[in-house]
Amino acid sequence: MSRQIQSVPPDVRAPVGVPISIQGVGHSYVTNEGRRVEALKEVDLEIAAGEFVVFLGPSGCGKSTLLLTVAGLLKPTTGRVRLGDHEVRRPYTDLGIVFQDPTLLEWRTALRNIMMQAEVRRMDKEKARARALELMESTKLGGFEDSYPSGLSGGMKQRVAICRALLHDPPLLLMDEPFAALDALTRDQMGIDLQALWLNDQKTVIFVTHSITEAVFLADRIVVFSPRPGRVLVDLPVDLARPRKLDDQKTPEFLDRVDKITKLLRNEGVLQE
Amino acid sequence: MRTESQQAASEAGRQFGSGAIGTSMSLVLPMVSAIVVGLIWFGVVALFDIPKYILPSPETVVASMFENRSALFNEAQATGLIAITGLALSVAFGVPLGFVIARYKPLRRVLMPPIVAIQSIPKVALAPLFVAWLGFGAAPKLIITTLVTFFPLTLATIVGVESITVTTSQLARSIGCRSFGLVRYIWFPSAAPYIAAAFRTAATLAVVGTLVAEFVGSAEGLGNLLLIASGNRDTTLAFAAILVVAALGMVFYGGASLIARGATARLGSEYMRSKTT
Repeated sequence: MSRQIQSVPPDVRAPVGVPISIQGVGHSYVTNEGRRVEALKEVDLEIAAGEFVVFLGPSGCGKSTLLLTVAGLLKPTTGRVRLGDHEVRRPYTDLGIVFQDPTLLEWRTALRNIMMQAEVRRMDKEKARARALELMESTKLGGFEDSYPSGLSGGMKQRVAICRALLHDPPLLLMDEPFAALDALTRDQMGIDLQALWLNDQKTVIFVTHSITEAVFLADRIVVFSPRPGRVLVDLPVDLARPRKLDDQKTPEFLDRVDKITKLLRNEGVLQE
Repeated sequence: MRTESQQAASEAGRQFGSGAIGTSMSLVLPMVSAIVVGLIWFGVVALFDIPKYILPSPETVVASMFENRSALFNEAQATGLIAITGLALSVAFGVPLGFVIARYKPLRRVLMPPIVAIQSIPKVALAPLFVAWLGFGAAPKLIITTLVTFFPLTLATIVGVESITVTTSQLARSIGCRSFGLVRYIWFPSAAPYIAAAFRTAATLAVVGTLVAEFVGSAEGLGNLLLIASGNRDTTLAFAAILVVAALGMVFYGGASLIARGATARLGSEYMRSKTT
């Protein structure tokens, strides 16, 4: 087996995120009929280390495409992505990724799903196990270490996926509509818990969603995308105090931002009445 | 700690008798069916006074089995050895072939047509050719057995790998899985339930394949014995040999089930059952 990436032990690396530079990244493809379709217009974005950035937009606007490009899982038609001083050319491994589908391996228990990360990266088994148990405890998964995914609720599965993404303490966390398939109550709770996790060590986070409230609640900065072909409509800082609470969603400051984005999207033909 | 759904599942299992009663019934029922078949057989032969060279009665067949036990045992051993070796070759060749075809999509267009073509030719038609080319030894028999058994294994492997979702592949790549890591952590476990089911099918096919090869060109094996018995119009011995073939097939099926279960124990029986029945 080929040697996997060199992972720095979590306790040695300083807990700071990585800056991201998205330079002219665009995506287009050719359909079966030979027509060229533009999915994402050239996007330029600079994301600071430790920033919590939300990509917000209607379905099919290319926000997930951009996220996968940052991860090196999709090759852009134009432009490039830099993570720190590293140019992304192939799947980048020094990050954690969470999809809408928890993507748990059915044949592994919750704990072993998280430990998969450690096995592939050849991390120290004992240390990784201790960290996995700690993460499970802090995400209220204590007691479910030996449960298989088939025996877990949707919210719990997604928690396991988040623990797996965090096990190796990556400087970057990419989340592609992670809470979209969950019910409203679970979703609120997951938002609160994610904020607490992030406040702990301030990794750089890119969080993709189409929920405006979720975006305003979580983000330091919201990048709003237009409908296809996606382009950046606005890059909106959210300077509300943290930790934010559910009740904050009723404050004028919060509602003001929700309003602003709603109007913006309405002008683009999304949310027609 | 167990979740509610797991508890519900195991309670349902208890209700439908997967416990102690189920196990003893699983032994009793096949014996009952064997006895019933034997009784009907006995009754038909006695009632219609069927001559021995057309249909021997069960007790004469059993007597013949006992009389020829050492010959039957030796021939069964010869057949079994070829069948096991052929099956092992099939796994060693068919499963990796499935991985390769699943991994390199264009290869599918190149390799699948000839594979399907070979699959549709009756092996009885091919057997004389292999004997002509390779002689009376083990080689033609092994080739026939492998040809008969590899296809379900290859197909199951392809289906298993293709059941992997796009996000699972993306996750694996972003974790750092490459080539062998991908096979070990994702591909093999994903394909395992399909391969295990195909392996049980292939195991019974292996006995059939070896028998076909022995019909055509062999100085030993149950196929050869069957051929000699038929030539001598010894219907009783032929029936005895057929019963031994059936028993060998059952042993192969049971053995394959045990091997499959052992090899995939780490994946959990619940997962293995969830894909196939």
